[in-house]
Amino acid sequence: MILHFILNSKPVSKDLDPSRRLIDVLREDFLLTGVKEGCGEGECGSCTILMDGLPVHACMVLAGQLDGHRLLTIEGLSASGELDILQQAFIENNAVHCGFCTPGMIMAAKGLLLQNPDPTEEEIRTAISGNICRCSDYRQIVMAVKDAAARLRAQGGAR
Amino acid sequence: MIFTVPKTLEELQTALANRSERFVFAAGCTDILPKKLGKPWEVDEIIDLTHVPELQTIGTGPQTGDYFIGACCTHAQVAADPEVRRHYTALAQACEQIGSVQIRNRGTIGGNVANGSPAADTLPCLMALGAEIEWIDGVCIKGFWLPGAQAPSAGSGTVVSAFAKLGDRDIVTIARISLAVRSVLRGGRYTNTAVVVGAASLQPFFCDEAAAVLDGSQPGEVDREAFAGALAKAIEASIPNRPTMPYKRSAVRGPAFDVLERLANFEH
Ligand SMILES: Cc1cc2nc3c(=O)[nH]c(=O)nc-3n(C[C@@H](O)[C@@H](O)[C@H](O)COP(=O)(O)OP(=O)(O)OC[C@H]3O[C@@H](n4cnc5c(N)ncnc54)[C@H](O)[C@@H]3O)c2cc1C
Ligand code: FES
Ligand code: FES
Repeated sequence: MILHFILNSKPVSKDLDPSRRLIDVLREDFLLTGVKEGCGEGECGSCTILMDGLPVHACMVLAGQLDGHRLLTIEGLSASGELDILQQAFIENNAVHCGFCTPGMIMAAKGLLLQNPDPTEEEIRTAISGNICRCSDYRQIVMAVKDAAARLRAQGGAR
Repeated sequence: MIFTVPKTLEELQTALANRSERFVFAAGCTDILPKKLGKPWEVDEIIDLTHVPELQTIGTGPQTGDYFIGACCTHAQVAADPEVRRHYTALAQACEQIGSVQIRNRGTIGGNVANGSPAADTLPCLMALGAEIEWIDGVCIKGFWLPGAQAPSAGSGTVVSAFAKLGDRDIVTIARISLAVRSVLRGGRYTNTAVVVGAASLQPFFCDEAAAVLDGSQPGEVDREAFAGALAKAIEASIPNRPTMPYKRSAVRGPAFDVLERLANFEH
């Protein structure tokens, strides 16, 4: 089935098996391996991407459902060659340890900041409550998101 | 594998008329994909429901004032809808607690009902609120009709409702017990109350004894122990031989007190 969608700001038309999961298509066909598979059942959040600006699990979408949608993966955040403010803030706040959860965590945070540039700590915790990190410290992750939000506000809003 | 993507109601009707014997609908896929994980598809056709605008609409019906929620509205969409928050509060409260942000952005109300899990959070709310299902061809849920805020059942009173659930943790949790209450505040007292218990047994059920405790009481002055006691008895009767019965019978006090507090704090 030929599917038409926007992937990391670029229009794509691709012949895909519609019954495959989006996570497999992104990793295997587009080599976007920043989309991680932790559980495959919606529990861990490591496959989080933005679909039309909203965080969703790439393991819970079928390729055949993609027509007309806009997808953003972690790779799309630094497409210009420069790291996104959230990525910088994660590095500077030591919010990355093994890094497996990080792309999903950052995309969940990105979805939050696009809707709410000045989130409270509770709102940040709610936004990442579906993202499990097994080796870092949630406090540093929350600090990184707060830090990124402050920097974005200083620059005039999320990009 | 046939993958059908209807883009209008007519195309959906045609797809349903021509459907394969073994088919599945794909809405948010938050139930079908975890179930299928690591296994091949056991169907010959997948019918996508996410491209039919009529299934994603939410709003007041033209004549009756009843409120329509399309089957493919996501939990996030339902929870954010101002009219649902105001007039069908229990449903908004249930939807805003379902899973995580990602699950709420994908999972749909129609999928939640059709999947029929005993722990489905929207089911007790829809029952308590008196929702009716509109079907397409008897197999596909088009959406849910909720009685309008001015419906005769409300009379001159104000409809109030609330939802509470008990899970293993506070957020991102599957209900062990859920409670949905809908009542009409008339002259400062609860009347016409409906109480639905979810997740305790295989199907949600009405608990008239608990509803009777509310009827005639003023918000904030309900006999909480009598309310929790009626629920405990109903749970005991519904799952007498289940190993979880003693736990659920006593644990129901938590959501019982929570739902009463939420109901009393109801603000229009
Ligand atoms: C991590 C996680 C956490 C969760 N937490 C909760 C929770 O807290 N509370 C809760 O209640 N649920 C929870 N769920 C389940 C919840 O996400 C689903 O029940 C969801 O609402 C199903 O909708 P869907 O659109 O994803 O359905 P799908 O997976 O697309 O479909 C599910 C079933 O419904 C059928 N179907 C879908 N739409 C229709 C329709 N319009 N007409 C007829 N049949 C239809 C399909 O054929 C399929 O059999 C959770 C799920 C996950 C993975
Ligand atoms: S891999 Fe998708 S949520 Fe875990
Ligand atoms: S940094 Fe290792 S899982 Fe989060």
